[in-house]
Amino acid sequence: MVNAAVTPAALRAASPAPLATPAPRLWLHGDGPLSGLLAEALCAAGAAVHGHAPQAGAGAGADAETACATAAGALDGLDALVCVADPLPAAATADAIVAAALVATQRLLGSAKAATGHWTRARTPGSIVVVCDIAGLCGREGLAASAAASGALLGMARSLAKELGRRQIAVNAVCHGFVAGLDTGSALNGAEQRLFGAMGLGKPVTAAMLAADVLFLAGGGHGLTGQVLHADDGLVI
Amino acid sequence: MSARRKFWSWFSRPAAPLAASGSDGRRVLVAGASGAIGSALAEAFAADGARLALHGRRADALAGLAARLTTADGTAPAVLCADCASADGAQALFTAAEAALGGAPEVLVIAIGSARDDALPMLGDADAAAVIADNLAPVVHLCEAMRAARARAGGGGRIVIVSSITGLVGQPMRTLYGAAKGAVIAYAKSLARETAASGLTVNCLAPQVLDGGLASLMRAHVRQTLLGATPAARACTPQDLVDAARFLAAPGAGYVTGTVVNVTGGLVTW
Repeated sequence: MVNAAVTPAALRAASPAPLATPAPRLWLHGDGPLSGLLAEALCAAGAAVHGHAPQAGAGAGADAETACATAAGALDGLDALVCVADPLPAAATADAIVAAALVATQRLLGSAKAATGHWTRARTPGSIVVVCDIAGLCGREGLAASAAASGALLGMARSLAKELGRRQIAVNAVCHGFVAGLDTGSALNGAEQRLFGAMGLGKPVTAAMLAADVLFLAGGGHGLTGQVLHADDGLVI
Repeated sequence: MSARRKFWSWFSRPAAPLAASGSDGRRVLVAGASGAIGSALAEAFAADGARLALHGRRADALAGLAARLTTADGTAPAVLCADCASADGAQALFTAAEAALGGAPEVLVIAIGSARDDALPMLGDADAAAVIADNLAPVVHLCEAMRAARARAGGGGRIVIVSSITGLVGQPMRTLYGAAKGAVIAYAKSLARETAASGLTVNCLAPQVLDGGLASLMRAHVRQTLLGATPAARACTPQDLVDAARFLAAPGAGYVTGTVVNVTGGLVTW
């Protein structure tokens, strides 16, 4: 397809697309075991990571502004925000399901606002990567809280991608299935084990694999925004 | 009659209304019936012969709707007001609906929501709390009350949730609305998987810009741009949702659960 409004002159005048950054400076927003595993794996893969345990509820926004400034100072700039939703307890009550979605929403809202403000002031492109449970896409028995929280993050990420595109801020997500060394609150039942086992799929992914996906999205140069990678070894195809 | 005539007479029969295989005499609770979508769905189920309980926050609108739906023999829908953003409120609504309908609702339709459109920098924690409280909390509390009610009644049942295409594909300036509707859809899918074996199905409708709905809050130029990109070349109306809801609520749709029916006039085809 050719957009007639985009002339060669306009293309030359446009800002160049951000090139891939092999070792991006990451502000990692999360406070649970998945955040810890991911931070270690990202560092091992060569990224510069500044972690922050976000505050929940009222004041989360101000907390995120301060944390973003701290991260950008410590890293001498900021290439990407990585917002991690850590697994939640299974079999949650209705109130817990609603609360989980609210906390996730407020965390991404606060951190995305802070990071977007930083990139806007610095006149630089940026990248937001959400990491959450695949239950946010497909639902899962016993994981209603994780599903609601992850669904909120995915719905928000897609809206952010459409809103922030003109500021050259890409917003994407990585949805994990089972993660090695982490209790994600669910397991394949016997029939599912046979089904996925027959295909050689459904195995836990490692934190290093998740980190590779995050680095790919955070590093830029890929033309993706508003997209969701399924890092689940084929659970959802 | 020859086989050939039989064949053609079958095809030339008037199409059976969905109502005949759908809501006739069934107990239907419509939550959010005072809104544009909820009232259109309530009218459809009433036309199909359902026994209705109408819930809403606007008592005057509900009273007017109930008056319109009162049958010639004087049978009127039950009108119930409750705050469903809490478990207690949702349970109270179900208790009242069961008493009014003579048993647990067999169909629960949820058409509840609100939007706060603004640019990201203008949104805060309180906005997030309000949008989640208005969109997700009533869905979760009503669905959990329905699940318990259907379990007591021996299983089965239909839940139809009016969500939004924004929950699936996002929309600029609707960050929080996208989050809330995304959460609704993901929760509904989890619940669908949990209740499938009991016969209780859970599905969502995902309309786009809707005449008379929350899209009325949208800025005019945004709305015009969206409509201009819609292949059907018109806005969605509450009526566009009616037959999709009827299908999802039909007794024969028991194998359809955990789905989101996209009602966007071709705008979203993925």
